[in-house]
Amino acid sequence: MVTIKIPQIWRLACQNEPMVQVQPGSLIQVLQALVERYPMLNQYLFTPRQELQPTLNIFINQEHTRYRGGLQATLQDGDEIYIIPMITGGS
Amino acid sequence: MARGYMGEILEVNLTTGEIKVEELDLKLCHDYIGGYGLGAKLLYDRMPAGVDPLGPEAILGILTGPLTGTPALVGSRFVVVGKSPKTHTWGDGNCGGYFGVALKTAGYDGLLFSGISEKPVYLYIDEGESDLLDAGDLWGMNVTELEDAIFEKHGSDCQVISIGPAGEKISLLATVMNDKERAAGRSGLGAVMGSKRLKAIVVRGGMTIPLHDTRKINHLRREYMRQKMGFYDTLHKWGTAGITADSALSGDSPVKNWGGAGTVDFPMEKAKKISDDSVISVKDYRPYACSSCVIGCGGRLRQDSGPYALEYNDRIGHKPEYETLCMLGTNLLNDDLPSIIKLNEICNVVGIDTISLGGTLGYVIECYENGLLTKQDLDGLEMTWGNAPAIVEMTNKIIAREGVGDKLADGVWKAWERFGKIGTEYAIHVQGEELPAHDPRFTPGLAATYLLAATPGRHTQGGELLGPPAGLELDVVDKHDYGAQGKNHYKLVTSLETSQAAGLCMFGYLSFPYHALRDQLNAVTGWEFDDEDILKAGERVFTMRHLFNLREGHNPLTRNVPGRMIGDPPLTEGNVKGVTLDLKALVNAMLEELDWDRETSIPSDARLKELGMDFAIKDKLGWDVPVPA
Repeated sequence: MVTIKIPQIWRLACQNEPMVQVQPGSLIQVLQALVERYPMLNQYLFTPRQELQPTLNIFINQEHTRYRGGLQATLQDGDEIYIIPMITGGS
Repeated sequence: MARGYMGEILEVNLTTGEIKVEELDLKLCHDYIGGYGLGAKLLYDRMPAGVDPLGPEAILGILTGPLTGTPALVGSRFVVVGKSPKTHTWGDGNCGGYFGVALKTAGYDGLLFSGISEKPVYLYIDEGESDLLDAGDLWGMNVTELEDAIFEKHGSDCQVISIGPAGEKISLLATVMNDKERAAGRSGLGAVMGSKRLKAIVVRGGMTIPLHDTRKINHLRREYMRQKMGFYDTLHKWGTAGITADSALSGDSPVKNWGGAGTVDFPMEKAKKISDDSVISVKDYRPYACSSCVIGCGGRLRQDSGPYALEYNDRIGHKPEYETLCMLGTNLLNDDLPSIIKLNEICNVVGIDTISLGGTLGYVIECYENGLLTKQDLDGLEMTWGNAPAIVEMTNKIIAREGVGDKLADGVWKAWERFGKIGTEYAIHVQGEELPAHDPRFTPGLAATYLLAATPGRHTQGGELLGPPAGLELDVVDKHDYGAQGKNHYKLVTSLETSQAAGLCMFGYLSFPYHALRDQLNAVTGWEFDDEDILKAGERVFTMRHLFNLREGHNPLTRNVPGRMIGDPPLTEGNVKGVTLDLKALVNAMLEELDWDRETSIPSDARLKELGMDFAIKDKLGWDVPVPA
């Protein structure tokens, strides 16, 4: 199974689950499976045109998907996805 | 008459001791809103170009916005403004806490200080009555001691802003402090306050802030609270400390003086030690909220044992936030949370900027690690990566201006000069302002912000793809499509300018729907701003601060750009490896939206007319602005 770690700020949308497990596949398939289980995540993950939100950064085993083939990256059993919505900090 | 304003500012001449009440020009308020927008216009009109920022002609301003102290989400902010002695550009520092509200309810939208007092003084305001009082016995006190002394003398129901010993010693790292631990941190304006021998401003207020539609603003507060989103949950639980580990992984935070990668040099097991749950699980942690803030991103904790036990306030101090955790943590490869908590206290009690301190220490460490500085140069200290005891000891030298600390007490640019201009690539600053902990290699739009904003190297000025509030419509653009981000960048920057000039906290802007800004501003003031008006007002604010710089002969396009800021050369590891930004494309895209000249950065006559800033059309004829080589 592939483990998706859910960012704290999205957990209300998936019943406070800190992580969700789905079947392996391409990254886009994995994310779609996540949305199927928790439809409220759709607005956070995808634009109205169903493109990945540009403010998201997704990491596969701590490596940015940019270096792994983007949405077509292949995920295997044991892989972990870490999603970081882009936000800023101060002070 | 516009509501949200008290209608008066106080002008204080510290040389003569004269205090004058001046009626606030509400037409100016409609155009520049308040805060640093209004401040920039007032200082532009009253201060000639070329003044010494530490001289008697320099004006230091303290200003609120129309939403400060109202039920608006989140109306808690005030701003300190002036000419920065650090960057020699426009300078400002934004702060929350309780002072801004107290100032307004004491009857004033702002304070302007000129001149230099012969002896240390503080300004005392009690609901409209104001006096300059002798601060001889307060001079030399740290911020905590000062506030305690003020409360003992005047009662604990006043609010205080002050400088610590750093400001008194004219350190360019000096901040203006409020509520002991809230800082108007950047631009070195604490040094300006110190140069005027103005130790503190004490206010007590109880007046009512007039509102256009009280019922409406209260309704909006409840309505928008129900729609909180985005950053809210993270801020409410952890404050900005909640993102430290994620940012070290993603490439957002600087690692190893901007030369390292989180995945390699500061992996998750280290990063987690100075992030989220690690921070809020420190002993006796309690959240802290600024005036009427529903987010409550702050927090206080107790550290009463070990080598980094806190010294003041019953061993209780404010938790270090993201910038501090990164600049004194990830940036220095320091995963020792207790040392960072201690450093935070040190900076707060003496009044210095933690971001600038971290940038300066990063330079020193990298010079030492590369043999450019020796132990002898550094008073026997072994300044190596992650060496927490040495980092703390060096910080103590800096705040005392003792030994090598005197070379470092004015920031990285001065340190680089004083060490003979060694390690240029390790001095990470723009125009003297050490970069904050958000890497443009991760958020490319920030490169244009750090370069173009009136205050160089400032992350709180908006930037492309910076997690915009819901409802702010942006084009879907790949963040590495550098030339395509102008429109988005313009909207992010100008909307945030209006929000901040109005006295709202940036975290409110990020936590509630975008239209809360427009709706609350209209409900409080009685104006009828639409979405376009919000952006235009923000552009006017952004431009006014920029015009101050142009008149000084400063063109942001000539600022230095550290290679590490833009990936020149690119990192070879981590999650921003291989990234080199096309800074010219990013900047030109924004210049096009602003209609500023691509060489001089001077706004076009047409745009100045459109903004109602016709005065600048004539003024600019006399400006002597350098252009990039």
